[in-house]
Amino acid sequence: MDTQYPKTIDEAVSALSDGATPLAGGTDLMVEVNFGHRRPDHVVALRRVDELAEWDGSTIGAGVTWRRIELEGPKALAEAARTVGSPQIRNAGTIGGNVATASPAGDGLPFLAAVDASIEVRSATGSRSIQWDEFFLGVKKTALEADELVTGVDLPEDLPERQAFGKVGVRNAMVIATVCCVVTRELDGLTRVALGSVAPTPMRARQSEEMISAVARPSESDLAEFARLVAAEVSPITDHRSTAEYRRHAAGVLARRLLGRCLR
Amino acid sequence: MPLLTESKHFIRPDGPDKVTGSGRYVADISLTGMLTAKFLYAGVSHARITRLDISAARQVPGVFAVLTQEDVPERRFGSVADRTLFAKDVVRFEGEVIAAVAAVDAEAAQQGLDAVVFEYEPLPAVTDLEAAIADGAQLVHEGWADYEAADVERDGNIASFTSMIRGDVEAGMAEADHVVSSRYVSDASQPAPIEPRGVLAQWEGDRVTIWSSTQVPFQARDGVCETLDLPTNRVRVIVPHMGGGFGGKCGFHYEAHVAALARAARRPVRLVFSRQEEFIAPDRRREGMIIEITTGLRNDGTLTARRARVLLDNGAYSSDASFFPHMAAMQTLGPYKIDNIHVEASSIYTNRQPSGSVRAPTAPQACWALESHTDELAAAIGMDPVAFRQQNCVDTGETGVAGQVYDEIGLQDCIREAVSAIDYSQELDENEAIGVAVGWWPSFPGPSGAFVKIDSDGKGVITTGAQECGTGSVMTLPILAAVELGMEPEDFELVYQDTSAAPYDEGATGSQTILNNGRATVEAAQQIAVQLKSLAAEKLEASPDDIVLADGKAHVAGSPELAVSIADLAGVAAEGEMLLGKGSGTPPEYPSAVGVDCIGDRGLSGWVGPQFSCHAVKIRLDRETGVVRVLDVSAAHDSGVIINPIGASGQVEGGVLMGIGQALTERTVYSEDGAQENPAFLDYKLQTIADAPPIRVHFVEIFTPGVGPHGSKPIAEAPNVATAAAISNAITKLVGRPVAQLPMTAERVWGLMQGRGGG
Ligand SMILES: Cc1cc2nc3c(=O)[nH]c(=O)nc-3n(C[C@H](O)[C@H](O)[C@H](O)COP(=O)(O)OP(=O)(O)OC[C@H]3O[C@@H](n4cnc5c(N)ncnc54)[C@H](O)[C@@H]3O)c2cc1C
Repeated sequence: MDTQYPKTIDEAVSALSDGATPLAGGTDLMVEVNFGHRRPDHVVALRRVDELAEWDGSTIGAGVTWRRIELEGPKALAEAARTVGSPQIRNAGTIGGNVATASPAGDGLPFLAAVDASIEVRSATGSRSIQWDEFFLGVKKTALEADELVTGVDLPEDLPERQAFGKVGVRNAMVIATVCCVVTRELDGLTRVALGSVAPTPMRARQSEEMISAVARPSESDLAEFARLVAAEVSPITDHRSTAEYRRHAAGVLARRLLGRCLR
Repeated sequence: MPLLTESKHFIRPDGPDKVTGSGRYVADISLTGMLTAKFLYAGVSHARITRLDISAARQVPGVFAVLTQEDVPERRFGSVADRTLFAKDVVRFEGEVIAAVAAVDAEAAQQGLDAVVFEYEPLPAVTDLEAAIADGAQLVHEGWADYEAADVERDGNIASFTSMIRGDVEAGMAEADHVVSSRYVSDASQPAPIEPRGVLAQWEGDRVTIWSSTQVPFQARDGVCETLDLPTNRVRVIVPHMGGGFGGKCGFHYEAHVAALARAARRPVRLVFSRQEEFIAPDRRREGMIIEITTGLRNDGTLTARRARVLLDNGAYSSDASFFPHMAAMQTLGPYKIDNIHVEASSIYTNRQPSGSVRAPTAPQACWALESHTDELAAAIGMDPVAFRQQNCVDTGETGVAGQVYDEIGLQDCIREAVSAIDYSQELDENEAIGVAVGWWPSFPGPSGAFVKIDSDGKGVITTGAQECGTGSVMTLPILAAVELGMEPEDFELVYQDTSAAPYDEGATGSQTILNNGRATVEAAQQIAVQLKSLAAEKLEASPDDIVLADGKAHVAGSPELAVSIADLAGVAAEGEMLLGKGSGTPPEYPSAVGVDCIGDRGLSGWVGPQFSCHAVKIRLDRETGVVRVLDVSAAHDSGVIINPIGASGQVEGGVLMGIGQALTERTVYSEDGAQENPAFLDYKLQTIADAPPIRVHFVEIFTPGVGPHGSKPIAEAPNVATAAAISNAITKLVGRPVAQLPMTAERVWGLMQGRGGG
């Protein structure tokens, strides 16, 4: 295995066009290598590409770590960052790596879905900006071409002030989400609900959003109806971690609680 | 007997090595020319081997040795001698070793493994305990009847059976006002030590030195001798620092495989497990169980009879698990007063990873079942569960389930202390509850030896066969020597974990180090005390009987000014008769248990120095998701006199945290054909420090004669008995019925609230 250490995005993407595999914090990639699922011959390490660690207003560089997001990110994304792994993982792991891995349980992804973020990508031949729902295509499947690098995620200029992230998992730290969720709410009631771990990709619960956005002051029974709708909209699977039924139920409970936090 | 003094607050000497990283573990050691070992595992739960061809693997560049069962003597081993080093003819679980390769590096070793031709014909996997003991069941071991096993009751897929009968159960049930029946099912779980094991072997001529992360170096050595036909003095097992064991590193595992590879390759060979191997291959996991208990009781709370049936998942081989049915039977009866009992317990072969001693084998699961059932009994007559236990638990002078009459014991004090420390009668939020459970655990007397010497400057060395697995018990031996000699614990260094340097010891197993090796160390130190007193008597012109050893000096009783330093005496001794002591002593005898009719007893009905405990746990339940958070724990223990309070408290805290994991999250999930679905920390969740609640530790210190030194009893396993049970009882208070499945995952608790599952 050989490794390249580019200093600029241009050098990095030119390595990609030679078939290299990008390595950021390595907290996903090295796990795959350890399990023998991947065996890259040629690795391009991104840590020395300063441009990737830039955070320019509403564009967060792909190389920004969870630790930084925990301290400086918008509220719900910072809350998500705080639940990623352990301090060691947060110091190494990046948002770009989370996006490129595209795990259904990626804790950073519901926020991107909730605010309709775009993923900025670049190759040796050009760059493009891909809306999140066209980027995440399936379990660990994205619209990214092999020679493309994620350079950052682009958030809208104005983010709703009221936003909350939550996660249901089997213990307090270092845990894969059974369900994770972001809810945002504007002053006029416009509500967005995005969930992870309950579908092949991060998803929006659009019918639930529509229902609850129309209610200015949701009553207990509105909230219950909202929870029921969210549970109905998600499409989780059963595996050794959890049953679909429980994930569905937990998704509704979690979304309702996060909405409650936004309304407070 | 000298009393323990300030030396109690001694801080273990191996701490700095471990926290600064200067300590060396097996994986840190490398020798010139060393090769890397890798194993080929069956990867199938039950199959007949139709072809195993290693000729191509031996040709792979960089590969120095490839071995299968053909290359080693045909020796069966285990508490039922049911397995060989490598699979022979049939594989019985996915982690069984088929072949081993030694090569220049991991890549070459992998290429060697890839070149092994292994073909098989699948056999039906036995995974259901009830089906396994039904008529005509597929046998896991066709040849079971030919295996050697001392004193083990067996039959087909029943690898080991125990029954305990006392009094008249029918009559007892007939006398009852209520008869309560419960059924509890526990999943298997894992010891999960933080250090995946390593073994390094190097031959010099016909002698082999093996560095191994084993809890039991002498058993490891004996396993090598038995399977490779070697005398004990040519096999030396050394354990560097070890990163935890929790029972997972008890027993003989891979030392012989690696020694055989090193001999064949004519090079040192090192094996270091991956995390996944640590989950799948060793014959040490906590057994899954089905526990059925029926108890009769009267309206006044008197227990009239108990009948129980326990099925344990033995897995594919017996490792050390033959005594488990007996342990499970005792745990299902508990530290209660019941005169009429009938328990049957069977450990059943399946095509899963073998079960073996993991910290307090069988106890957390069986105690969880018994204590959940006990709260059901209290509820049946509308009695408070704490009062119910106070009425029914054994006390000093009373007779236990197996007919043993107890000397002074502190179980009732434990209940009182645990309940008061958690403030049992506090006002609770509607989503909070406090659960209480009692536990018990035996002490295991056994042979053990130690040498002590004091050199010319008055500094000492203890050479002990005992093994430090992280609990700090070996680190506690200097306290014992220091007390005998009027010295400080810091005056002693330890030579340990080397089978050629030290006398035999059973290792870090059964919480036995202070009990047995403590006795040996005390005896060795006492011999030196005699020598010192006679030297001092000569110098001070007094009688040896009047010499007192204290504060690093020998003085005449009543005249502290008439003194000579131990260092000076040591200087004199170094010129002639040196200060050398050796100890082993006689292990305490098992007390008889009267009136119990027991098959498969294995001498464990009467317990030496039974340890008692009571754990009280406050939880909060999220009623919508079933998530349980443990808010507060109090744990009171009768482990006799506590010799090392810092170490003992650490054992209780760790045991409680481990118990919370077993209660809520730790679970090995099996596929239908016996394969593990979560052999990694990604999906096997231990508790972390972020989950740890406050843990209030209280010791009920009763001087207990005839067990360990200074009136002590063991402590390492006992704290891992009652926590899951206490959590279960707290959950039941909130949801109305026991979850009856272990672990009590959020999803299971939620399911119960939806009207599914439960006992
Ligand atoms: C112990 C542990 C705990 C964890 N806990 C959590 C958790 O709680 N929540 C959670 O969401 N995740 C968790 N993770 C997963 C992981 O930490 C995150 O997904 C992290 O964001 C990955 O970032 P990275 O920089 O380490 O990615 P890497 O491992 O370096 O890369 C991941 C993948 O993305 C590719 N890649 C990386 N950067 C780019 C780029 N700029 N352009 C294109 N492709 C790129 C790599 O080739 C690789 O395929 C955990 C991981 C571990 C080991």
